[in-house]
Amino acid sequence: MNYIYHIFILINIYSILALSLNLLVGYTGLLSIAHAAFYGIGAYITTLFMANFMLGFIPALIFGCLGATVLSLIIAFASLRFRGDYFVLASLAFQIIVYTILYNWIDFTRGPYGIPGIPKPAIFGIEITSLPAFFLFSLIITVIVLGLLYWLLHAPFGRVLQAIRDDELAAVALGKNVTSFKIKSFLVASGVAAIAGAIYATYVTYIDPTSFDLDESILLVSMVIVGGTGNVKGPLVGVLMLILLPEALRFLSIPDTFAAQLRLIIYGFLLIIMMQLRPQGIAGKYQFE
Amino acid sequence: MATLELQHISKSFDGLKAIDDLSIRFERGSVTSLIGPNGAGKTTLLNLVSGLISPDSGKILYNNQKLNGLAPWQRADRGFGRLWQDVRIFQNLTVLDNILLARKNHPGELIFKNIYQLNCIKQFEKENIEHANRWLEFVGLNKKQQTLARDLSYGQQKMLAFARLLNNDANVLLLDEPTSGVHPRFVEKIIDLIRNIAKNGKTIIIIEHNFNVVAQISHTICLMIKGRIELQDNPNKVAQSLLLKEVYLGI
Amino acid sequence: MLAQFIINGLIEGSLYALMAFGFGLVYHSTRIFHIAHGAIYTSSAYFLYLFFIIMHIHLVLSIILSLICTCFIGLAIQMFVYNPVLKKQPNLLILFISSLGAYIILINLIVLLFGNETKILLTDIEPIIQLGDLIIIRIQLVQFTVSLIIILTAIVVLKNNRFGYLIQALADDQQLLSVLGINIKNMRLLVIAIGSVFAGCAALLKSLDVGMDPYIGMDMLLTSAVAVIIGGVGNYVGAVFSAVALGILQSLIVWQTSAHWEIAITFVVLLLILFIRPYGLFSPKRRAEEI
Repeated sequence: MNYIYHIFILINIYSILALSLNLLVGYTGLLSIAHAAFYGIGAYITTLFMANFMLGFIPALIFGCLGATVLSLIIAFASLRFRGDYFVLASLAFQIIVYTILYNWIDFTRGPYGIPGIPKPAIFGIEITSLPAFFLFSLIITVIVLGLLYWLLHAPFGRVLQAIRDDELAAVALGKNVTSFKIKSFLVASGVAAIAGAIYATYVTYIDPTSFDLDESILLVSMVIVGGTGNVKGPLVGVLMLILLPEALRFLSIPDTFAAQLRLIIYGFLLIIMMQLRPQGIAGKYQFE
Repeated sequence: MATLELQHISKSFDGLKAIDDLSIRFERGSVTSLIGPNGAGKTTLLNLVSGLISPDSGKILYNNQKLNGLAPWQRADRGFGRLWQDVRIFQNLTVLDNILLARKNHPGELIFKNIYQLNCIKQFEKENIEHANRWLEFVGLNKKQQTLARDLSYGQQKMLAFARLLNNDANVLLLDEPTSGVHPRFVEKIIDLIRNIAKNGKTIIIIEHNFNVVAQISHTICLMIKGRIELQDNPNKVAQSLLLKEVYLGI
Repeated sequence: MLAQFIINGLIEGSLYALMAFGFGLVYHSTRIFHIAHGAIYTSSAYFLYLFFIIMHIHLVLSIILSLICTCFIGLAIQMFVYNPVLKKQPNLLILFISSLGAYIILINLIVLLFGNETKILLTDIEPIIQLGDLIIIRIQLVQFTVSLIIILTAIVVLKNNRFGYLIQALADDQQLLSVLGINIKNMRLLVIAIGSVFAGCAALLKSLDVGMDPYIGMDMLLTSAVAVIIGGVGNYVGAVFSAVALGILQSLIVWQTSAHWEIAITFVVLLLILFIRPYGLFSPKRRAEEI
């Protein structure tokens, strides 16, 4: 039973990540491989405020979100200048720089040793320690966050993002301030990713840079692309598939060391096959132009 | 009364003069056509007006206010609308969404207004949908509301682009080849449409190769050659001019 | 000390240049952001390990066999990963993601087959050449000389030959190629084969010195991709100079700080240069085109 709770908590965390990444990839049309960086920034800043300044979960989370959104301005700025593969490369650069900083800035992050003993979150004085309680806690946050995202993406705001994705120049000529919309979509996406980071940090109670490396960003991009881009349902399908797949391998009693690689190989095949057969993903709407 | 005025505009690309010391006024409610051979600088002129490129020298005035230095979206916000030669509709959106999003100053485009001014947004969107339906009917696409724009025929896409422009509520319309590649039965419709729009007091600037179309709808025709306006007159005079024959027929 | 680190950087940079040349060929002519190039690099080193260490084949023969196998990996990627996409919808991001998929598959296959730990090819201590205060290991000299010869040959071939012209045509005007009666598909295969051999050469030279682990390809690829973009896509001399400059820069960073900052700083350089000169440092400013 604990195992089931664990899987569902992971699904909650990754749903938040995948849907916020889809805001960039599927709506604004920016293939960003820096999402794990914002996830990590959120996790680290929240942890720091909880552990060092003894702040509660919610205030610490607010700082985490603020930190991620402020840093996202760098890459938002890059998205204004570059498109296509140059933007991908710029986002990759951001991911690697953030990872390197998390790894090397020992005073702040303890580098490769990671930060252990992160306190469990407490809401209204109730500390959430048991696994079922944490599951409920993460579920509530996920539902709220996904609800807000769904709402925003179906509002005229989301419509303009899609227009920018399809034809930036035409959107400009209709009087849309594309610069502002792109920046806003980064602020929202990175802020939301930071929430996932905060949940992860307080769930595992230990973080180190390897949870937020390039491979993690690639995993997130795979989820969005395999599941589908440009709508809300697609990324969720992707999350379910890519979270449940390794667990299914475990049930086939494939040894753990072998399963880790096998899982990644299957991801790789999924990416290639999807690109050839259904570039919009299993349940997606938009395919890259 | 003057709406749009270009004063001594020059623009060159790599030392090649695309627009050469060009001055012109476009009056409110008038239809002006730009004709001329390829490379005469017609599209460059539209790009200069929409702000996609900035002139090397010269001033662009709209109602006596300087436009130079304003970003394209700011100009669009002040009433400049553009119809693109290659339609540039939003392929992955429905026909209805294409038109709805053209509406300016929609409160639903601001993130936080979606939280505390929901009623206001709903009201605005309701009116927006009413407008959109009117325009869709106007261009004959009212039955295709939920079709993806990419699934329309080229002629229908062009009509969609028109409807989008109309819902954008522009005062100066820059139309780049509105009838090119369009089925003849749509051409008549487009001509009517342009006439109607002009009657409503809008300024229209058209690039068009089809001289018959140009002669039917324009108040003024400008013949452009090598970045200059060589001839500017009413359609009858232009049709009789030797220069036109020289350019078009090579006499 | 400074001179020593500059020399080390120069030698490292010559390997980056080799890698960048291969990446640049593919990227320039087909516009595929060929991230699988990094996996091709890694597999090449492991082929050498397979032939030389596991199968005990003579070193020279092992090297030749490894390069041939590397070449086939490149061809397979072109045929089974890129071509189906190119046929249906040639889209840069779709190609990029496919390439990423190929990278993930290859690297993890290597981990499955050979494990995660570092493998060493040559265990003997290499002779040292002393030039005043400078120390150069023999293998470094081999790395530098071989890279230099290959790169110079390639530049001469590209500059003065029909081949260079065809590469440019593949990048600019594929219709022209069809008119000339050249099969674009074969041309693409040729390009990726050559690119893979370049990656293979770099990998073999490097792994003979320091050995290999499954993740060596990524840093190599990233640095060389940065070199290609800084140098200006299609400007091979520019890419070579940028690669060498990055090699020296990274060597100086290792000297001054800890080793882990080198890739991050490479990317900081990339971002700065992208913001200042998006068309590359060595290429002329792009023509301002009409929109």
